[in-house]
Amino acid sequence: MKIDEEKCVGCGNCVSFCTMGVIRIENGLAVVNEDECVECNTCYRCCESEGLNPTLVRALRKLFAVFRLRYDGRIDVCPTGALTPPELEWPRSLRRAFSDPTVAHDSTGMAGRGTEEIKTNDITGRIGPGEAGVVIDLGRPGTGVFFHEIDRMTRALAPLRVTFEPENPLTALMIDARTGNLRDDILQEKVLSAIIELKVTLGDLRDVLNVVDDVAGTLDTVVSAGVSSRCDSDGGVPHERVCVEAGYSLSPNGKTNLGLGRPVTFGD
Amino acid sequence: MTNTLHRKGTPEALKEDFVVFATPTRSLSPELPAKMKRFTEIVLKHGPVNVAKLENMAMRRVDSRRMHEEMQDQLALTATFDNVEAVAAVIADLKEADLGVPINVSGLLEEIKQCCGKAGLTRHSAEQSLGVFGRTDRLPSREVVEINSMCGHGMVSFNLIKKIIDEIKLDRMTPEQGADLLAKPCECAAFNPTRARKLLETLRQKS
Repeated sequence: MKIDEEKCVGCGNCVSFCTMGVIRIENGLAVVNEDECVECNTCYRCCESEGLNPTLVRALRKLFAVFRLRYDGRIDVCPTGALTPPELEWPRSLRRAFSDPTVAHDSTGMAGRGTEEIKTNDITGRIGPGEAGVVIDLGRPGTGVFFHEIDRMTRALAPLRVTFEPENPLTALMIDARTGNLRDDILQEKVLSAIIELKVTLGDLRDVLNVVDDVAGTLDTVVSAGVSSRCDSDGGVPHERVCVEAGYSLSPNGKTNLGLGRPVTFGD
Repeated sequence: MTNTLHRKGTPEALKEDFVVFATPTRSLSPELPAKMKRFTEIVLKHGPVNVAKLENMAMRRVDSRRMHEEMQDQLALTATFDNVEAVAAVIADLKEADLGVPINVSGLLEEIKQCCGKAGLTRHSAEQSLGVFGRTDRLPSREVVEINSMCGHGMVSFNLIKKIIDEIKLDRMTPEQGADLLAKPCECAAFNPTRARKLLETLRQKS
């Protein structure tokens, strides 16, 4: 994010909205730590411009200060429109693709984190009987992650008998899905979060979860993990027993695919 | 699309937290707009507390104060509800509508399973969170994480949540105003303002 220092009046509203907490007020102006900014544009989207004259706003603020008056204005505005999303070039453009849910990924055409999970399993059959889907969301909640940390996780998982989801934007950034190595030119880029998505047999699920747990302990961020499976004919959830026996607790809430989807056929 | 897997909360809070969403990307056909229009009618009929529409292949949150006006001629992708009765009714209507579009519901799995049973459905697949691993010491208080987790993409910053909690404790803002502001960054509309308001109210009373 770019902040025009000619326009900024140091109100600090954008500081609150910054998802990474990397905007600070310095000498009366908002300053972005560019290394840590993930280009999510949340500050820009949420702090709409009031279009006020910066000189006028600064003068009023000084006047208020002299008379010890407090002005409680709206916190979801940028009084002078000082915020501008910059044009991003590769590989920095990845920051926005992974961090701004209003932007689609080039690799998949999907906005958001770009995962399939079980959302379309009733059509694709991606996770079949005897299999588990695993999602490993690095940087979430609210901490962010560099690709070199994601690379450490994908390389640790690749030797296990896993299949990385081919239509996931992270898989598209692997040099080789058999090794899990990510492209070298992206490793220093940071994103709000990114989701490794894979499937594995229920028999191998425990090994995968253990590796996720072990590698997460070596990273300087947080990792939210999830697991899915196709339900039995009575609606039972096959992965529950495996996870509990492996010593992992499962949330009582989650996603349910209702099974209402069906493949589109000619004439449908 | 939404990432509603890791919503945190007490059992009581989760009983008021359900997100219904359609994933039409695998159902492309000339009939899809009409099907999504029907999906939109069904979710709006049952009183969602937050809705996202499709705009330029991405989700955009609709202002909840003008939900029905803003959704004229728009297609909904996500709708958040604060009661299971509404979700049960949505599931029943969707089954009857037979749109052929994949529909998922995030929320308490057992409650949704019962809703499916009442509608004559057997759930197809289920997904659960295993929790948070790694540097959990970098996370703020449970309440802040709980509010943050309601936005699937993590757009509601820890700092904004803390600021709004402070503003409410200082009586500069009501919990309702605070919940509306917190919902703003969440473009996928998975954020549940009812839950947020109740949690902010509890925090105000504690202070």
